[in-house]
Amino acid sequence: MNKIKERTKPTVRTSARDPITQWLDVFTKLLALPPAERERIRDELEDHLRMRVDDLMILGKSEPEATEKAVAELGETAELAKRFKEARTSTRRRRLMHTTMFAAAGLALTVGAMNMIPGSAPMPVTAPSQVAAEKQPERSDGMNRDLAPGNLEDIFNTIAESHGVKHFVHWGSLDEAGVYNDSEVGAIPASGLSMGKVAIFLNSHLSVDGADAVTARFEDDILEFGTVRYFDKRELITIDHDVSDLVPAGNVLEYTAEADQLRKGITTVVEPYIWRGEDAIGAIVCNGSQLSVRAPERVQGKIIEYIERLRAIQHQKHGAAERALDEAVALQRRNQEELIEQTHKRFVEVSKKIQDIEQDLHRTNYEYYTVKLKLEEIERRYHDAADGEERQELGDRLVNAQVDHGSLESKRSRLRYQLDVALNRQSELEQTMNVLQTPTAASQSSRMLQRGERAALNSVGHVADERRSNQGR
Amino acid sequence: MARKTATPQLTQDHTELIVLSVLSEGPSYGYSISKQIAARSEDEFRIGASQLYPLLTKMEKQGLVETDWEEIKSKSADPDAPGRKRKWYRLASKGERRLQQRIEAHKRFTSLINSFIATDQAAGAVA
Repeated sequence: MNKIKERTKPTVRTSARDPITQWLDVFTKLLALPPAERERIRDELEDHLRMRVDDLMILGKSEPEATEKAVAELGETAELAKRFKEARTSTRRRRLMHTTMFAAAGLALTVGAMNMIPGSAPMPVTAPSQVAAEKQPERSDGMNRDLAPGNLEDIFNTIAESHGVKHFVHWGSLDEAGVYNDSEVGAIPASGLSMGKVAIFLNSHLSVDGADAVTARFEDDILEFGTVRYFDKRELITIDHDVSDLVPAGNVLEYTAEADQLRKGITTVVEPYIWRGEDAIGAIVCNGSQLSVRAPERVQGKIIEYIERLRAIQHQKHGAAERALDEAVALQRRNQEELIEQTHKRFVEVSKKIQDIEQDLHRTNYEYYTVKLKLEEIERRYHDAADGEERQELGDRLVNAQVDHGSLESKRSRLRYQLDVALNRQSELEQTMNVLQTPTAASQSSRMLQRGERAALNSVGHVADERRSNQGR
Repeated sequence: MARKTATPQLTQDHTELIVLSVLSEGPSYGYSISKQIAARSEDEFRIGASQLYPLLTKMEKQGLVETDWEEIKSKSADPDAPGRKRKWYRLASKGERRLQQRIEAHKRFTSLINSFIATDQAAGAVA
């Protein structure tokens, strides 16, 4: 088994900050250039992205949509970083750098991540050879000759000659994949084709794909051939992702259920062979809310895409929850306003009723005192009158006056009672209105909602219902 | 209905010619260059950022363009906070020479292609 040669491990930190800054953080770290130059490229791309987002927003897109589109227009992050790196390399070296990914188990992650989004249509799965053809940039000058049928060793010699460079073959890695120096390869119409396309033919003739597929690297002016698995082992890097927005913080080296789910998601969807079996080369460690991912450089971009996709999903969910919360707060506010309006209406009704009762009581008092004076006068005259017809008549008038007096007295008591009840009700309604119109009442219920204290909110709802029901009585 | 003609594919040389040509009219920065190209070609040529910026980086390395940085501050931003940085490109004398070479090569190429087209069609193509 080949010994793993691990490169200096760059540490990339992704965070839950502004999406553009976050993307730039990742992009900058993927740029294999001196720090000062990385920063200059970062500054320039930031200027581009911010201006693009502004333009898209002017055209009617929301900020998240505009940001997503602006970043998407830049294409795949790792590919863009590679283009900048290539822009600084020599022409010959640049030509050969494009040969790197022959096999491209490539879009597997994107396909997997897209298929994980609830409600999204599954993406069609593309054959590896097709992926290689689609992903391979067609910018190299290509081969300058066709490849005649021959053994693999001859083919490698011819490819290297065509590009005018020395080459080295990691036969050990090819042996493990069942490919040998004398493996027969048919004719390949390679003239004018990029190395990526030549590789598709080559792997097809050799019947190898995935981790066993043949690929190449141009390192130190030497063209190296080996399997994808071989170069993956050689190009391991570690990236630290701040996933505090995706998983709750756990203790150091302790997986929360969510972190474990995230780890399983990555290891299931992104190049599964890297994580499993005796030859596993990838590793994921969760440190609190930080996920350290050790994987081949070519795979890291896919992992970042996967995490970003999860973020987008969570952002959508979070947006839905925010909208639900806003609606609940608005509903609560509407209920409150409705309650204030009803209470005020009731207060006005009760006040009018009080006025009516007071007027009635005033009239009744007047009548009562009139009848009372009349009664006293009749009583006096009755006692002074001699027996006879006049006394008889006064007696009848006295009885009638006493009945009127009693009736009016009773009416006065009833009206006084009604007035007391109405005044008490008016006072209650006034207090209720004061409470409802106090700003803290509205904000308290909003805060309760925002804290998710729905139980508390329900109890407020019950009180409101009770008040309404009391008003109805 | 008018039949839509296919948009010609730009080669690396064409892209370089176009960018140098835009810069020959005055200094500019990446986003502005890409917008000018889209506008002048009526949206037929779109040179994406992923292609444009590496190309500008390469042109700078080759000495075809010279660069300057400008600090951009938005009106609403904190006046003491550092602003965004914008990279301006202007054509260097080597870039002017390269532009002329590209133009000559393009004219020769067009002339050769025209030689394969009937005279009236070529005139139409030119018109």
